[in-house]
Amino acid sequence: MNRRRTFTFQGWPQLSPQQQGFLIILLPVFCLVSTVGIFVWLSMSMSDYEKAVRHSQRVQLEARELLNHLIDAETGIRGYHLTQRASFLEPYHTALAQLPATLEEIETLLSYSPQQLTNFQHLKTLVNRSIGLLTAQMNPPPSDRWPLIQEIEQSKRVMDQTRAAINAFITAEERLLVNRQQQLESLRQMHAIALILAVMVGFLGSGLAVRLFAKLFRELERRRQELEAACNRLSQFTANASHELRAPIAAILSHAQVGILLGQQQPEQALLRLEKVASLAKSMGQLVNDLLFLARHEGVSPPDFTTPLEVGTFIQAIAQEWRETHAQSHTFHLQLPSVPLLIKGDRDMLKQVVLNLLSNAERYTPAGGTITLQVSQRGEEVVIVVADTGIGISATALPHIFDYFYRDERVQRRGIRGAGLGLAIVRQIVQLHRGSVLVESQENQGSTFTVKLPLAT
Amino acid sequence: MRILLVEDDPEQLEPLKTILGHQGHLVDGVKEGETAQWLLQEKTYDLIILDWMLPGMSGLELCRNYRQAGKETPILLLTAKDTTGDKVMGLDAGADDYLIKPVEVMELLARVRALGRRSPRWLGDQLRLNDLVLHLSSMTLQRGAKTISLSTREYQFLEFFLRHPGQVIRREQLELHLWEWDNQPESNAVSTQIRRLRLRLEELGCAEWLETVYGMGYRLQAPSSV
Repeated sequence: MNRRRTFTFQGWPQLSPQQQGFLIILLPVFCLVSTVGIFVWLSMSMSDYEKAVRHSQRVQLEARELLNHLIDAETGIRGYHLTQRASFLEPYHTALAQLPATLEEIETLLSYSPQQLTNFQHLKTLVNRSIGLLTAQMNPPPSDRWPLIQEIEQSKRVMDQTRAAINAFITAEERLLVNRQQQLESLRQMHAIALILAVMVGFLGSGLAVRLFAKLFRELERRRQELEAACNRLSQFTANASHELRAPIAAILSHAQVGILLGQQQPEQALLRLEKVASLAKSMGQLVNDLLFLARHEGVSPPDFTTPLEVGTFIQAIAQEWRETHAQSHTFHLQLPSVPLLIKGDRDMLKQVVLNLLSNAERYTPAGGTITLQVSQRGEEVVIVVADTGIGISATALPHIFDYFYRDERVQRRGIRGAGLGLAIVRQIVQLHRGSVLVESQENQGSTFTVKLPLAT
Repeated sequence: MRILLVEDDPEQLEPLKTILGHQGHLVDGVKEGETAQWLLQEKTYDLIILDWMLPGMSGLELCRNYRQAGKETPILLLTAKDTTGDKVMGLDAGADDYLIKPVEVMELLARVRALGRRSPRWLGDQLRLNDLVLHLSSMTLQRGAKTISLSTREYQFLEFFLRHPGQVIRREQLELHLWEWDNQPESNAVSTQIRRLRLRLEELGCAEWLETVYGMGYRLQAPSSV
């Protein structure tokens, strides 16, 4: 799993979906363009070398042709000297006629391999000299044999030199040819390797693109689900909020109108309805206060509280007040720390946290149950625990109990009233104090709320 | 009319029940969908008023089940859900009318009357036996030129008798139809009410129309049809 993760680079998740999509498209396009580029370059190089090889072969052929012309010219002259017949001069003339074209052809071909040009110039001089010497042998009368023999000897020497030069030229060209053929061969091998590499890169690139696409798809799917969940939460919140806000208004309006309609005939009804309206308006006021409190502190960064608070004394006072004002239908345990623990915070807000938790514990614990309020120190934190032996919270409700207006259906069925804002307020206050609140609960086994607040330094 | 009112919030249930009762309707008020479902199987109503959001079985589910059972009593959904989608869902589930909370009591009563006219048991705005006429909207009883106003209870009893003219109605029938489902009448409650009703009928000179059939029950019939 880790290997797979490192395979895609680490910054990938930080990219926006647009950037990820662009890279996913870019990847195969890049592979295609680079592969085609390499192929074109290799093919062009190969075509150059093939051309050079063909030229070398033709240069060799033409050089051999040149040698043949020289031999023909020399043979013609010798035949003529031996027989004095003009017909023996025919190869000489033919060779002489073709020589310039052959030389020119070689020169043209050598434009592709300038390294042979110097050799060729030397060769050309020798050829011209040989031809010159051969042509000179034609002019003196055949009666005078001695100078002719001298000329023939000189011509033979030059001709030997020329032959040797042509052979050397051919050998050099042969070396060039072999060299070029080797280069062509290695290019062919490179071509094959490049083909294999291109296929591999193509596969890897496509594979990576597919993988990244799948990852992007999963990411988009995850975001879609998140949005859907958020939409559902929002619509649930709206439904719950409109229910909770409208319920007291509807009740107030109904009582008031019933009072108006019946009041004249039954004055006691009017009084009864007025009392109901007043009581409902009070609870409505509390609901509005709670909502305003939540709205005011929503998303606000924790302030720097300066008032130090000794938790033991503070909790003891709250517990005492709570015991005095509430029915003693539950067994109540209070456990306080033996040493003073200081925190910094808002006294009223923290009191509301404890009171909300105690009031929940009381509401959801049948008479005769036990409620425990415990304060202790754990590391650098003060831990306030409110535990009860009440009806508990179902597993389906547990993740939502801190949501605004959330009320467990089981609780509603039991007719336990409330707007579903108490725990949301607890969480918000605790977060404002840079603390955390946790809940552990099992159905019919009670609930334990743990509030952790940082110790004052 | 006999109305089933389902509302989980007692603070909303009680005033609505009171005002509907004051209008002469006999209202069974329940807080849970399951109880309402049971009552709908056991009793016949002229109108059902349902809250949507109930603990347990929702009003919508209840409405759907009721319609699927082929029953036709008008249903009025009374809810805090206010979006068009909610209204469509509610009406599609089989509700005949949809009111958003908080509701004006006068409007609710008007809608209740409108839906009552669509009830299978609707016989018009007045019930008549010979020259005795009961005006349902004003809860008044008229005979000839004389008209008297009835109390809610008198009206409910007389309406029941006028819907079953000439029939002998047993005490248990009266108890079943004229007392709320969770309200057990005292042993002499029926005869007390009959006595009161006779006193009112006396004002119009027709007390003897309401007879006691000994050992069986009570009967309302005009002398000419004897």
